[in-house]
Amino acid sequence: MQNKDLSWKIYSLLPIVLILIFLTLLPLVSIFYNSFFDIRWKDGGYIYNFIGFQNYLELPQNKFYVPGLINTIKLAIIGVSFQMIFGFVIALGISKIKKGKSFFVSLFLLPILLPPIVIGSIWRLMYGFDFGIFNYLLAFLGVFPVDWLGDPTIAFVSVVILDVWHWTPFVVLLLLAGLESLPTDVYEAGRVDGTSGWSEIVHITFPLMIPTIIVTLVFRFILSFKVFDEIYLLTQGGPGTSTEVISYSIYETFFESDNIGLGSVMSVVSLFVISILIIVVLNIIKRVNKYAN
Amino acid sequence: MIKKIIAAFAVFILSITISNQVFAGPKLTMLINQSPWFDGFRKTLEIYEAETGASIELDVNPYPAMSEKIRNSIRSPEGIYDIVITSTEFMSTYSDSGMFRNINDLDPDYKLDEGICSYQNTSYWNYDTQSYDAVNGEFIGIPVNGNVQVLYYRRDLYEEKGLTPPKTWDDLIANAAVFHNPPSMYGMIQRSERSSVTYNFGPYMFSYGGSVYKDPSNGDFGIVFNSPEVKAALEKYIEIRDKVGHPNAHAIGQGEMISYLRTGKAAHAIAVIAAWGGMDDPDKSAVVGKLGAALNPAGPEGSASSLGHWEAHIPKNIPDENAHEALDFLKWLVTKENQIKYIENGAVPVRCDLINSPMAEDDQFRFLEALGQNSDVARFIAPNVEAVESTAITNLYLNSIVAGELSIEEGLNKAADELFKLLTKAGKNTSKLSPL
Repeated sequence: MQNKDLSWKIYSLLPIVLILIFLTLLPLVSIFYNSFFDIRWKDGGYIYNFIGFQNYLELPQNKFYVPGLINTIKLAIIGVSFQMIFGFVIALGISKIKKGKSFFVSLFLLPILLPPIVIGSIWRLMYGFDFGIFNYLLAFLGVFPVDWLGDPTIAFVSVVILDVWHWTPFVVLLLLAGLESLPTDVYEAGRVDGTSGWSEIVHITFPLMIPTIIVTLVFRFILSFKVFDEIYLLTQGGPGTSTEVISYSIYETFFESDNIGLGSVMSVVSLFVISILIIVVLNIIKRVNKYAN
Repeated sequence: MIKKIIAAFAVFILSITISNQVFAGPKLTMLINQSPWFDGFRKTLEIYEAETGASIELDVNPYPAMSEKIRNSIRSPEGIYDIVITSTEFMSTYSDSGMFRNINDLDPDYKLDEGICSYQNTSYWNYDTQSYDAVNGEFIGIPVNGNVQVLYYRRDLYEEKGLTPPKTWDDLIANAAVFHNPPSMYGMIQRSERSSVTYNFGPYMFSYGGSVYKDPSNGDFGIVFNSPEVKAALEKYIEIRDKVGHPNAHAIGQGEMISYLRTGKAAHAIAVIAAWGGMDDPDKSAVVGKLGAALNPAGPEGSASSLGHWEAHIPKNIPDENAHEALDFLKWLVTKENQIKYIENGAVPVRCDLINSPMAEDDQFRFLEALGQNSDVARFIAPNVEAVESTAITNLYLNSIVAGELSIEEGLNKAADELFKLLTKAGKNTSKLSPL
């Protein structure tokens, strides 16, 4: 009977395991394998030239990838921090609304419903130096126009603003679901003890929301490494490399320069860095949960 | 009733049979980019289809998607596209792929007639020297768009002020200063965004005798991008930006540049002639009839422009029948008679004999003279297999210099070092200059 159960488990899981291997592990193995070669297309076929760790050794000197990695980490930390703060405040505000809640939820969801290509195009127009609405409004207020996409420092800030605008609704959605599932008896007990307003948020809501906040934070942190569309449409990594991100460097290397070996190394290193960061975040979660328990 | 149905069915079958017999050839597919000259191309293709009964479906893509689509098609066992077109940015890379048919294998007697512009022989690729070579190269492309950069200027304002088009860069500064009144109007708009600054800088660089490579047509890929000539050209480029240009030039791409011209906010710009199509269209432009085109201003070595034309190629991985049909269309397109239709439809011609024809006297086609003059002096910025990577390097450092992140010397030296590494790794005959 036990053997029958085991076979059933194996056979029922086998298809999904095979799909997982085919779709996830094989591409990873392939990228890792390619990273040791200089691969060029010539006369109707790929020519693989084994070069060992040369691609890896050249990567630290790469003028696009290294600034891209630094910018991506900066964007993830700064962007996600703002998204979490704004997302929590907005979710809290919506949760207190008695009437028309669905209207506000729909309104805040709009940015994640729009295709990224539309978002990039709209914001590029809005950031325009002479034709953009931001500078038009600033001029109306008598303020000198801002070089949103031309000044290297401001261009990065512009990308952060767009990223925060784009992804805060995602945070709102998850946190709102968390807020609405909080037990009401804790609040009732708190009110009996005299908590209200700010102290209720600090001493009841926030501690109860920590697991949801952490899950949302991890989600957003991982997803923020995938940023591509906004950069591609807004700045294409410029000026200089001030808004370069790893996805854009990898895209350029693979698809524009057709350098499969180097592109593979970039992918492998990115995967390694992101994995390390995820392990760090998961360890933090474990410790926080331990502390909370 | 039954008789009527049978008769109607017979007529239907007959009509299908007849229509199929008019043109029995295959339906072709062509990869093309969405650009300001596309409408002119499409209209001319429709004339061809009406004349011959042939059918060519266009797969229209934004420019950045072109390279990847070409690569995927020409590398698959059976190609998706019967005709692909390459721009100067990736033309050399794909020319060397070995995946384009030799036109003379399809038609041994066909050759480009002398009226077609040569564009530094980009229709012929020498696989041994990895360079364009009309003598020993294989005939693998037919030009379909003669895009080069020309000087756009506001002829209405010129007439008002009694000015003549600038002959030199200093003339340009002087003329532009008359109109420079930002933000209402900028004397000169430069397109220095990271993705396109090298191309826009080309006319300046060549006019000062500078270049990226020493003598690529003879296999000398020595890096001369940090030469005193390139430095002088870049100093002039930045001087123009500072005196009469847009302070935000390093964030301006082709789209914005065209917007400045069409909205009347630019007195001058060096832009692709393909953008001309919309300048006289009242639905798109506020300066209908007000723009003129001229030869780019000269530096110490005269005027220059940078090639931005497109070549059409017939891949090897399509059926022979399709390849012959594709060649028939391309041969039709570049004839003198059809190039006139091409111009009338708003596309950019590839025949230099038409450019200098009486047609250029017509105000509607007033850009033709400038197109001819600039085509004569246009040069290929990176005519090598590594062009995409090479241009990514020059774009990065030029953009950083224009944005003020690097000094001219530092930026050009760094770019030269990177180019040297790239060409050395590719096994090219290369060298580099002492740092500036």
